[in-house]
Amino acid sequence: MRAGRAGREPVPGGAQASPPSGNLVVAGVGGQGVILASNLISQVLLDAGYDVKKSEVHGMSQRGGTVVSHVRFGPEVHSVMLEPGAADWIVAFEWEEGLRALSYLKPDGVALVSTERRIPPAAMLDHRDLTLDYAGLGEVPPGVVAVDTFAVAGDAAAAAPVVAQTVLIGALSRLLAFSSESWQEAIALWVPPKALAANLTAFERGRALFTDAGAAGAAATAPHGASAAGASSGGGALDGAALSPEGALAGLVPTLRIERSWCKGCEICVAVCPERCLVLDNLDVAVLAHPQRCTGCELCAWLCPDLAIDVGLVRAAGLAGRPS
Amino acid sequence: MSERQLIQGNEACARGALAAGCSFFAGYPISPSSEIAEQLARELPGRGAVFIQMEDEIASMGAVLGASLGGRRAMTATSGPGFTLMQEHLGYASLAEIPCVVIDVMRGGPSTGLPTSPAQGDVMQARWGSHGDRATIALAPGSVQEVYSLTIEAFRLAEALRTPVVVLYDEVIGHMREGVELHRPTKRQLGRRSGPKAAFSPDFLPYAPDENGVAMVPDFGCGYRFHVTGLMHDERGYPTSDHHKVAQLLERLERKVEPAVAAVSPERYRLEDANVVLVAYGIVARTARAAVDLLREEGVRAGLFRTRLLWPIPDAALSALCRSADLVVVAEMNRGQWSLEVERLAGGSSLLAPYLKAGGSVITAAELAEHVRQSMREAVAAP
Amino acid sequence: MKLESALRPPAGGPGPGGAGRSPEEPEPSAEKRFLRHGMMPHMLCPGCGHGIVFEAMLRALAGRYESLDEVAFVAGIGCSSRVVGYVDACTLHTTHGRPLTFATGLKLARPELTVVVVTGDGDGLSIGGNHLIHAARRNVDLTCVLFNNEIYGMTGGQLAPTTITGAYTSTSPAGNAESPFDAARLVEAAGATFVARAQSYRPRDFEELFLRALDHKGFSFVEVMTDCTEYFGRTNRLGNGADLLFSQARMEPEIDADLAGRPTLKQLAAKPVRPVLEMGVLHESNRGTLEEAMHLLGARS
Repeated sequence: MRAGRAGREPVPGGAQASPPSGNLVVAGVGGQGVILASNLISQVLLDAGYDVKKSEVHGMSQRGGTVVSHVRFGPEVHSVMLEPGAADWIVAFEWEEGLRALSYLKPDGVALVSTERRIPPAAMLDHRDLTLDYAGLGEVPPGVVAVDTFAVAGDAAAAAPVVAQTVLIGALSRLLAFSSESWQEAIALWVPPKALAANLTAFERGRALFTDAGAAGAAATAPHGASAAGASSGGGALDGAALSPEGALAGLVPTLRIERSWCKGCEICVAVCPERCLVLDNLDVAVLAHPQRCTGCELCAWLCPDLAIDVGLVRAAGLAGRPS
Repeated sequence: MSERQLIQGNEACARGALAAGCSFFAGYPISPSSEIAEQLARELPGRGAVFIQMEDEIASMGAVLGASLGGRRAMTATSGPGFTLMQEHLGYASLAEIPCVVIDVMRGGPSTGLPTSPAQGDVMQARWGSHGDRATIALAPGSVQEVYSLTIEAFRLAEALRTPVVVLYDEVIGHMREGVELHRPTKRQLGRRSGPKAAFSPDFLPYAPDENGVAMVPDFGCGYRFHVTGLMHDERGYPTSDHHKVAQLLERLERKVEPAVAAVSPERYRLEDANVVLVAYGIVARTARAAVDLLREEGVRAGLFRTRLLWPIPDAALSALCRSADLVVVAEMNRGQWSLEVERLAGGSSLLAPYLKAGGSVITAAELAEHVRQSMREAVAAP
Repeated sequence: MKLESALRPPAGGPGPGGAGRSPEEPEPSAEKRFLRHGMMPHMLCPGCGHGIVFEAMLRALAGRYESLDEVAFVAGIGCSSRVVGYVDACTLHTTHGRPLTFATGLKLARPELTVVVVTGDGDGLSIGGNHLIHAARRNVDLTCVLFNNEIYGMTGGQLAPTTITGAYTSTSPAGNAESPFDAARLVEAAGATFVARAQSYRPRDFEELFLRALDHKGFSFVEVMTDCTEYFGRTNRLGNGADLLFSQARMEPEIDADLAGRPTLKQLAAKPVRPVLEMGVLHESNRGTLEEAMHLLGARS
């Protein structure tokens, strides 16, 4: 599905005022408030009377690394960790991290993914010897919603950019349809007092992204500069093209241009690419071996000592006719 | 338009620099040249002109070259020990073709030597002080008046030929006071910097020579983007190790300073019928002139060839002179520097009897005349 | 083909590829227009951190300048200093250790120019150390970027004044017995009004610091830690360019090399210890520039 202008879209997957149980993944990078957000969500669920379990994985979070939190709730929850394909909802504050977390999403789940991109430097370390293939994800789940959180938050995020991510909490509050007050109380409990007003504004703007279930146009007026767009109509092969934020917004795919005569084959790009897209060919020149995995993160271009790599978006033939 | 004033040699140098349009001086204090810096520190600031005292002489020359590339007529002044430190950037200026003027008020050396005594010991350093083959221009004024006019000429040559020009004089001339006519230089005497003849384009060649063999390097910040390096370079200014191109470049740099020979002519005193020729420059030329008069009174057909140009050496004139003379006496205040060059140019055609005096005192007319008499006696006595 | 493309600027435009670019390829990034394409590829070794910093500099400038007509790059001698030759600007490749002296003269002669000095740890701290502290003291409005790779790369991997104690170089075969300079703190003490430190591993951070340094009025200094793969990395068995970058990412207090079998100085710890360095803006203050004191601004005669 695709979300259009704020307030014009029904709640994806339908609002669930009191689900019997559920699983969430909150993902992002260090400094984005992933832990705070998952605490806040857990608070709402606790207040609603559920048993809640929450995990935190934030190995390199102090240096901008990946941070993931799993939240499970129900009458009684034992295991804290989710199996792949078990999440009803994903809230991702960072685009690539959202991509990574998608393997947890149920086929009919909903993922709210910020188009903000922060390349996690530690991603290099995480994947030094691995190939990240997003195994098992051949299809774009229909419930992926890309949200330009900065645009939606508008001036609410002016003082502290991190506030923009609260937009996703606002959007989530339409999916997990407990009372608005219960969300606001949880926010007040967890957010520092000086940032409360801005967070509540961002929360309201996020809520306004979706109308009440089935009632298009009934939500609050669109906030200034707000926009939101879906990742794709779903059903296509899952590739970096469909999942890059700009691509999601404009139907473009990221790709590389490698100046072969400048490349000295140092292998830095091969090693630092979080998606392991690059290899050296038999002439020791870097080539984009897995273009479909490229997310356009530009890490290879930034860290290429030979200035040999350019990253950009092009209209790929396969996607040219796709509505955007 | 001119006025006559009683001023010191170093002050005449500063006045000459100002008259020549110098608008940048960087230097480091050193005896016996400091008066030049002190005077320019008073007179340059204002109207965008710059005086700056740097942390050492290497830095002073660096700043001079940077300012020159920025379009300024730039100079520094020093003495032997400082001149030694400046050699690095003199070599750079020669190769990168950056105009600049360096005043070296010579004192006794080597090392700290005799800080307040005159000498002429930097002649070879001016020629060969920097490593590698390097063409140089070095002027040698013989009076306070000439310090003024040759400083102006130094700027003209530096700008027109895009090369460093050294003005060498000694402590006595630097501190001597004479009546000087501070004439305002004409446009021709000021000259102008060789620069590009076309607007910037991607295939612009900053180091392509003009009809005089001088690179047409623009100033920085004038709409031209180009590279300046101390590496051997091609006409684009880009580094090259192409032996052919490097050899061509070195030949061109040597050829391009030749116009200095015609521009800075020697003084020929009573040379018309002379068979005893004294050769001197700077302060020594003044006593040599007196020695010639002494010898003439005694009936010796003596004359003086006073050069105002040490480098490039006026070889044709000197060769001819040596061929026509019976005795050639080069007098200089060192252990033998320019005299070696004259000996080379004479090629055995005449008897050479250099009079060399290092130690910090000036050669007197009497002792020089006596040396000539003695040399003449020895020549007669010789088989 | 390789030779040709290296020697000749592409026909189709300023960027690499030019006319031969297929529509499926992205546009060359904006900073590529500031390269002297006829000079590329550059002469740095495979994996050299200087190249990363160099491109980050260009990227920062590309966001700020249409053309570099009014920007002068002044460099000394060494690997770092060679990068200025690849920028399509007014570039001045001076003598060893002296770029700040040229830059001082140039800036005072033409205060309207933006003058960026590129130097290295040997160039700027050893042979040019005196010029560095005096430039900081004078507070001429220059931006000096010091590429610190802890070694003399151009001459073959010799000991630098920044080589950490115990590290192996070709002139410290038993490990460096001396202590390194902290360049940023040295320059701050000498009176620089903007001092920052970055690393090649985080080029985006460097870009930001470099732009702040450019904006700063007065002498601004950015030390950037980069990696010498061919000498420092190899001699100390630290792996390839990527390994060195990852080592920066971890900000390892120890150089984690397999140094078994290497001679060690008895009085030193077994492993060379790299101090953990503070990154970001280390000092910022304001006082009048030399140009202001000299009344040079807008006063060109």
